[in-house]
Order: sequence, then C-alpha cells, then structure tokens
Amino acid sequence: MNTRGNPLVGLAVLALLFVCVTVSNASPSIVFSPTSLTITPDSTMTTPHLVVQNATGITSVNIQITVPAGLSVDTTNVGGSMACLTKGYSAGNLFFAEWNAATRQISVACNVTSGATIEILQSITFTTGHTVTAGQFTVTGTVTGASSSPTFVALSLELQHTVAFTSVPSVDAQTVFSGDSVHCSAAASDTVTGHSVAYSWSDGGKGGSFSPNATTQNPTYTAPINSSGVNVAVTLSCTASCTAASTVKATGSTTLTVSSTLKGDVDGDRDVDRTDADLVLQAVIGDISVNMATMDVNGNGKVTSADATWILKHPVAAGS
Amino acid sequence: MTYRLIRNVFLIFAVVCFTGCGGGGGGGSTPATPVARLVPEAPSITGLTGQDVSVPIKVEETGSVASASFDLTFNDGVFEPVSGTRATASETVQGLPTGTICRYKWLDSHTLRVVYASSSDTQVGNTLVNIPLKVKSESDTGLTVVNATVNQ
Repeated sequence: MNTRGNPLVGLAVLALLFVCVTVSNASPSIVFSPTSLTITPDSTMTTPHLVVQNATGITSVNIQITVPAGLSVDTTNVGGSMACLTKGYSAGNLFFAEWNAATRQISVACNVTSGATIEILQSITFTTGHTVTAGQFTVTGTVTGASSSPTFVALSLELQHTVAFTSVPSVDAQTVFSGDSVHCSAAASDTVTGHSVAYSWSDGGKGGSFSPNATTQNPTYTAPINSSGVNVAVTLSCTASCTAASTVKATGSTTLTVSSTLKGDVDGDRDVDRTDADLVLQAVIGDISVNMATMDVNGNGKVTSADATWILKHPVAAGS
Repeated sequence: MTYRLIRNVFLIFAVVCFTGCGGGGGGGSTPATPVARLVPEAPSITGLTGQDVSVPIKVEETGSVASASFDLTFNDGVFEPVSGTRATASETVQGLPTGTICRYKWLDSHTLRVVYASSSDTQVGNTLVNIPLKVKSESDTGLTVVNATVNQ
C-alpha cells in the first residue's frame, strides 16, 4: 500500500512525535508513595518510601525532608553513610541520610540507578505524642541528570480520631405542652487531647427553636405550637463534631412528645387567657379541684397564684 | 473557790461559744430577697351599717407583688358579704385593672381568704386590690392581713 501523500499518515507521525516530546520533557517528581499517612496519638509509625517519577537520566538526588513539630524521629537509621537503598541497587551507589535536630530536617543524598521510576527505600520512623495534630513532611532538594527542575510533593499526615458522646443527648422532660420549652443536654469528647467539640442541634424541621441557638451545647428547646389535636413526637438530634475536622463527628438523638394542649389552657378551649388564670385562682382557694397537669404551669410542683400570674403574662389567642 | 473558778470559766466559754456561733451563722447566711408586705391601708374602715365599703390592701416594705395569697381578718361581726349572704364559693373582685384578677372567699365570719394575680408587678406604696365588704356593725374593725404569701 502506497502511503506517500496520504495526509492521515502525516498527522499520525506528528502526533507520535508530540507524544515523544511530551514524555521526554516531563519534569521529575519526588513524592512519597502513598502521599498521605494516617496517624494516631501515642504511636510509632513509619513513612512510606520516596519515589522519583520521570527519573530518566537522573543519577543522584539530594533532598531534605522536614519533619513537623511534635513528632520524635527515630534516628537509628539516619546519621551516617550506608549503602544505597534504591531499588535497582547496584554496588558502589552511596546513600547518606542525616538528621538535623535544629532544623528538623533529614537530608538524603543518594546515587541512583537511572530509570523511569526510582524508589528510595529510606523511610522515616517517628513517634507521635499524646497531643498530635495533622501536618506534613515537606520535601525540597535537587537532582542531577534531569532535563528540568524537579517538583516535590509533601507527605500529608491525617489524624485518625473519633468523637463520641460521653453523655447522650437528652431533655429534662419527655413531654411538653404545645409551645413549651425543655432543657437539652449532651456531652461529647474527641479521642485526641486538645481537640474541642462543637455541637449542632436539630428538630428535623418540626418548627421548634433552640435558645440561644442550635449550636449551643445545652440549649433550651421551645417546641412548636401543636394545634393538631393529637400529640406529636419530635426527634431532637445532636451532632458533635471535632472543631479541627468537622467530618469527624457523632450523632445522637432523643425523642420529645409535644402535647396538643397549650400550656396554661386550663379550660381546654385552645387559648390562654384570664379565664384560665381565674380557674387557677379558684383551685387555689378551694372552689374547684386542682389539676396539676394543666394548672402547675411554672412547674414548681404546686398550684398557687403564681401560676395564674404566669398565665396572665403568657396569653395565647385562639387560633394562633 | 475551785468550784466558782470552774463555773466562771465554763460560763465564759459558753458565752464565747454562743456569740461566736451566732456571728458565724449570720455571716454565712445568704441575704434574703426583699419581700413585700401586704397590709390594710388602715386598720379601721369608716362606714355606716349596711353600706358597702372597700378595704385597700397596700404593698409595703420592699419588693413588688405580682401574685399573692393572704387572709384578711377582722373583728367578728363587723363585716358581711356584699351580697348579704354568706358566700360559699369564691367571688371575683370587680373593677380590677386589665391583666389583674382576684378572688376572695369567706372562711368564717371574720376571715376572708384572698388570692390575687396580675400580669404586672405592683410596686411598694401602691394599692394591690380593694376588697369589697358590707358593714354589718359599726365597731372597731381590727383589720389585719395574715398568712400572706407574695410572689414577684
């Protein structure tokens, strides 16, 4: 088949050249593999190996790894010359690793065997403290033999921790009047010392409100007005999350029954007015029976003229 | 001699202990919240037999009053219910300000039990409520408020 003069063949040749040029000009990249490490408090861990990608032509590396504060480096394997630990090791290659406590840097110098990818088998063993935070091992340095300047990718340290409730979400009354308030409480802690916990309460859109706000640890919840004629169950959920990492969280809930009865509606006519207050006074004076469920509106365990005052101060018009 | 000495030492010790304990107790107690006192505006009300009179109950001392319960006592046979017959159920006090309710009930011929509630506080020096009564006998009234419980 004669391909001379075929434009498609020419385009294919150009594309091939472009790919070749692209590959050959790629910058070497020095990265930890993998690029992230999950750490936990009070533990001994080891970094993954460094990998030199696009390493064609490279004959040596000279890099500095900066160790974040709070980590104690095991210097057993750093501090002197040793045989090169790169893959594809060949006799005569030299490896040098040195720990500088002042700068918290480990310097790694190594002659390498050229290849597409070089794995430097030096890893860093370190110990985390009781208080530990996320951070990263940063890398800088130089390489020889590369056609362009290298790029460096740090090792990200991701903190493994959990948030759990030490006191599950609860309310100080399981049943409230329509529109009445209860006190909510919960307590949670993070497994990492020093990490504080943020709280977020919700009634699932039932129309109640939290005071002073829904992000208070122990807010007061005001139930919605329930005019349905039947009691309504409201689930109050609380999410406790680490302030340093909001995805680390725990969720708990408690159930509250909102009565269809208005607080202070002694006569059950769906309003709260002076008639209700007057019924309380009649009960106080002994004309009618005391009904603790409807008359003890201030919740002090007895029916007095103070309950009548509460009703007069909290009127609710019919239909509101 | 020895007996007197021992006795005197004991007495001094007792006095020191007594005064010391009393002072300590006073210092450690929490100051009580000022509480208003309810009193009839005057111990006597002037009125002719058969007339309706009102007994103003005033707020004195310190604090204010939002609700109260108290017994108004007087000399036996001086007053009778306004309606002219002994009430068995409580009656409302008419003419009270908006947001104020009051009921009273005869416990016996010389005692009215009063319960009062308001949406606002009545301050010291003001009249809480006027209790309506009918003069039955023109004599010393001896009006007194007893068993008062007030709430702010």
